[in-house]
Amino acid sequence: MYTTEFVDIDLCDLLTRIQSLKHQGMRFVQLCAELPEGGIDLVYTFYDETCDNALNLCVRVPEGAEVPSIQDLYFAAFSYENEAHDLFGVQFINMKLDFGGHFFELAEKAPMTVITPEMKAEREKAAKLRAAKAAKEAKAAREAAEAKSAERALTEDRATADAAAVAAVDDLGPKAAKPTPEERAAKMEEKLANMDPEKAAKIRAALAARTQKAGE
Amino acid sequence: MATRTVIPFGPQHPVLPEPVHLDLVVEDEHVVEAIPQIGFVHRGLEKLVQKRDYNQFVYVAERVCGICSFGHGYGYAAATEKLLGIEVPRRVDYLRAILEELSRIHSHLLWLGLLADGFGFESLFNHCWRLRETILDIFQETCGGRIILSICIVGGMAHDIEDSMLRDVCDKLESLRHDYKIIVDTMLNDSSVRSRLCGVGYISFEDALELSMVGPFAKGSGVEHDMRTTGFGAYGDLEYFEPIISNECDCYARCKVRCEEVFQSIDIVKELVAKIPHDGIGGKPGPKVVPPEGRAHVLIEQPRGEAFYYVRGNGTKYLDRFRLRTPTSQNLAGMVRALQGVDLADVPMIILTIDPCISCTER
Repeated sequence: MYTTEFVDIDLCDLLTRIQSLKHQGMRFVQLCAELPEGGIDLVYTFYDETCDNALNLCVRVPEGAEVPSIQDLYFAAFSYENEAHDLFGVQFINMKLDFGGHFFELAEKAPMTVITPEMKAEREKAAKLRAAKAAKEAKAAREAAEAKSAERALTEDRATADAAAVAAVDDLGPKAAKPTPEERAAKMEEKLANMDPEKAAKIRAALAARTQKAGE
Repeated sequence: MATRTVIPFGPQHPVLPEPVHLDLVVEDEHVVEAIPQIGFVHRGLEKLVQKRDYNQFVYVAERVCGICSFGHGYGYAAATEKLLGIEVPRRVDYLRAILEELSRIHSHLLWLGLLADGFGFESLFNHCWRLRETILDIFQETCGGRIILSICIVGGMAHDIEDSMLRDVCDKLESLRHDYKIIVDTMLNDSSVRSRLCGVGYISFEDALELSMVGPFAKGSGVEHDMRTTGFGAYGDLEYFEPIISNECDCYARCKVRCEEVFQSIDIVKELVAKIPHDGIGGKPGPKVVPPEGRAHVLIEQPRGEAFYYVRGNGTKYLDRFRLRTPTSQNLAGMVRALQGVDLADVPMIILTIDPCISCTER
């Protein structure tokens, strides 16, 4: 089975590219014009017999631009160039066989450039669907971003509150929880002063013994 | 210096079943230049693709021509399937190839009848068209229609053809082969046919390549180009396939190629019928399936040569563009070259051996 390839090229590169294909011995298959949204495209098809590959060169023709004829390279293109001229209004220059717009006997000029109402309606419908889909996606993305930022703010608030609480605890906590030995001794002396002297003496002896033991 | 005269040939002429006009510039009965003119019955069918959805358009494509009718439906359906990314069952490929080969036999028999009529062999014309009736009867029995078959749809076939029916087709073709051989031997060995066709309308191998000619017109000049060799569809499953060519490069060579292609097509049909698989016939894509934005094309071998089918989708049910490049469009340049330097009296024979189909070209 043969392979197919579509390559977009600029109009200014057309002749050079086709000359090189002719040099490579590729066979000319066809030329067709088409009218997608926003301009006229020309599709030149060539076939490489050695590797069974169909190469399509796609060229965008700007409005009013002149396209160089390839009849000098491939004479078989004369019918397609005259057809593209008559049906799409494409202007070719240096044509070997030019029918001057009378290749087809047509009732109106460039009839293929007229978009049918069915196609127009379908294109508008497709454009609306695309716009609606894009708007829906944008809305979903916006909502997701808002939710994320709200969550982040909440997380930040919690973290701030926690930090403040920790700081408050830090402000108060160390003095209460971890009094210095001098403070502890002064507090104990205060308690012992209010006690029974006999009992206070026993406690003082026990404390002295513990201090001595810890020192050893 | 001889006086140059322009003689209009067609669009109404006894040897032309369809309207094509030639301005023949002659000097002493020798044609020095021929300028073709078509477009008298241009129908703008390609434009209809913007008014009929991609499923309906297959019926329009079939009506491009009454001789290559099935091939146009096949080519359009294959291109659209390629765009949609649909892979059809193998049985569909086989059935399509069988019907395409039957169309080739039908077309070549019709052409041979017209050629015989051009010579004045009216009884030969009658016999050729009698044999052609066999193929039309086969179409009617298998598809329901004689000219417009309406069996090919996007995604498969509209209905199946039973194996027993296909075996009957082979039997009928075998009988046709016998009768056809008698006609061909009579035609090709006739001295008057040889004297009018041999050495006339010469197109060299180099010219045939230079002018990108296709079909029996090119094969008569020794060009081996035939899309069936690429193995598209069921043709890849054939045990052996070689295009029939002839190196004489004249009108007689082109006739010989066409005559032998009929025998080759009979063999192809018989081989495909013997091998046909049973994996279904596919069906139309679902109602929500639409061709995506993109391009696709296929090349198939029609009776008159390679035909090109191109589709461009835009994401809606209507295609942006359908392009059909017929073999006759491609052979116009060759026809102009073949007519240069010939005798005026040979022009009808040369045109008949090129077998132009103006109906296809005026799509």
